[in-house]
Amino acid sequence: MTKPDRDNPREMAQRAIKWFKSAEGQKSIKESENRVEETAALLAKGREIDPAKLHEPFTV
Amino acid sequence: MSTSPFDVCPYSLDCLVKLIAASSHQKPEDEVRNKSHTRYFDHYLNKLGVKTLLVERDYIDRDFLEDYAAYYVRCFPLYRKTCTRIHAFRQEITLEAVKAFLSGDETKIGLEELQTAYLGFIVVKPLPHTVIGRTCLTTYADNTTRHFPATRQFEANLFGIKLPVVKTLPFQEQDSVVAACATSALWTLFQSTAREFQHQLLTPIEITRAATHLLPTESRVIPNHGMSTHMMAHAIKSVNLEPFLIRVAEGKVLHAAIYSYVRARIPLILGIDLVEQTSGTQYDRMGKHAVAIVGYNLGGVPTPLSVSGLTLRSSRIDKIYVHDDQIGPFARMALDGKGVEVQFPGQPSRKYDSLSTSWSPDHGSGDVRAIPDILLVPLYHKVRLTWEWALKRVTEFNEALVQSSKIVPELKLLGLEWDVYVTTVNDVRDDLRKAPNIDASARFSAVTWPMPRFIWRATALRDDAPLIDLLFDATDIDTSHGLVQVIFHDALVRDFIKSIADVSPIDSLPFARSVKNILHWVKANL
Repeated sequence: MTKPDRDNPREMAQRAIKWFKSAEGQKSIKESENRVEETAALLAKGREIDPAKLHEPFTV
Repeated sequence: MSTSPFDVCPYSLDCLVKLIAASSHQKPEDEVRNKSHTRYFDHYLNKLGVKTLLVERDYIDRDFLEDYAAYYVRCFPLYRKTCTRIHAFRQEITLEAVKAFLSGDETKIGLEELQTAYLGFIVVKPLPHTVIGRTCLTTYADNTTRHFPATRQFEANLFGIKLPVVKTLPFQEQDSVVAACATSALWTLFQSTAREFQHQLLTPIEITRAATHLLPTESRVIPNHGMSTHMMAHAIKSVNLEPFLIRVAEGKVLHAAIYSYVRARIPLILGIDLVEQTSGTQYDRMGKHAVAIVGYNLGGVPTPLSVSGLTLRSSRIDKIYVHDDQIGPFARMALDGKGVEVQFPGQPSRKYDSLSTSWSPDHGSGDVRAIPDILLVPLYHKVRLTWEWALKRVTEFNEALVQSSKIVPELKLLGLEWDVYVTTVNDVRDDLRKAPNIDASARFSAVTWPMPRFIWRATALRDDAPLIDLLFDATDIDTSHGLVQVIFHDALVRDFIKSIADVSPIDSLPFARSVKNILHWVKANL
């Protein structure tokens, strides 16, 4: 196996693409999609408005 | 009290108390001394290094005049219609020197000296209790972590002398008659957004009317004892801005949402539940309160937003600075991670994230803390895409970089910190023009690239240095990719991503659609 060229972006890209399409890469990307979904669920909490609270006055 | 139109005294707490009491409507000095604002101002003015107070009598304050015309003029007691304005200077100034200056003799003190020494003013209203009117005091001195993006330069005019307050945002106490806490917080917001988005500047009475005039109310609104979120949203709509409501019970959501908008010079309303310590971690509810967020401190350790490992610059926020009408301007609230156990009516007791406050307890000597509930963002109507939309795209792209770094670790794409906020095309261009690590032709292209007025900017930082900028059109529709530009500050990372886009059919890559859109853009434009 040839040593990776650390200054050759094209070689790096080919290495990365090969890995993305490998079984290991696919599994890793699937896990990554789950992590994205978890983050999206966290951010969506910002939309969980309780309509009843919209009419509570700020009185202090 | 002197009949001279102004007076000068060296700064001390006693002097401040006497001035406020004398300028109010018969408020005793003891009451003024025990008022939370007086204690806060004494601490704040000492921190600013105030040496001299100059008292301007019979000052006509537009906001108070409108409130006066709407309410106080028809009260049986004779309230004055003029206020007192107390100016603060960081150097010792004598009455003789100011009198000489106003007579045309600048040998004792000059204009530049007066302007440099100026730290701002406090208007005292001629009312019995709630006396702190429009107050513009400069912020704490800058340091590397403290930021007040929502502040601006305001100017006082003292007998024709232009005195700039370089970084401030007006503050005032609710009078509990024409204005409640939410009115004061909205009034502060509008002082900033009126300049940013060019809208009418409303006085407290006008805000209360705007908030309520379209709503059926069970009871009268003036005297006003509190506005709801619904009413605040109406007030924001009345100046042709769009109210955007975010629930911020989750600490990480609070950090990210505050940063996304305040960084863009947009102050926010933070709705909180104030709770008072009864014992240990047990707290009782005091009531709902609204403050205006005007700044933050980035002194914390960056932490990932979630399991995705996406680290946002906003996670460094360890304090926010608020105009709290019951405390004072630029009051600190620490996001110290302390939870409180509270039982709200009709709900079981549970633990909530909370912030520290400068409040004193109503009863006993326990701590008073704030449980964050909502953020209300006053947006220009064209800022349509939200912080959530932008962060989702950043998360997807960051995950693609994380995957790449597993096989190409030499690119050092792990552990990036993302700076994500809404901004304007002018600010982006001004910043890119000075970007040090982009070559001249790429910089010219980035600066002159056609872009919309409002942009979501996501900058990936490695060791605090920009690596990649993703610019999204904040005015677009949310089903669009919204991508305007991708700017690389590192040639190796640029060439790597360009090679990925060139070598393989992009649509065959196992990435989210937003990542593929970025690759398509890179392939087409770089």
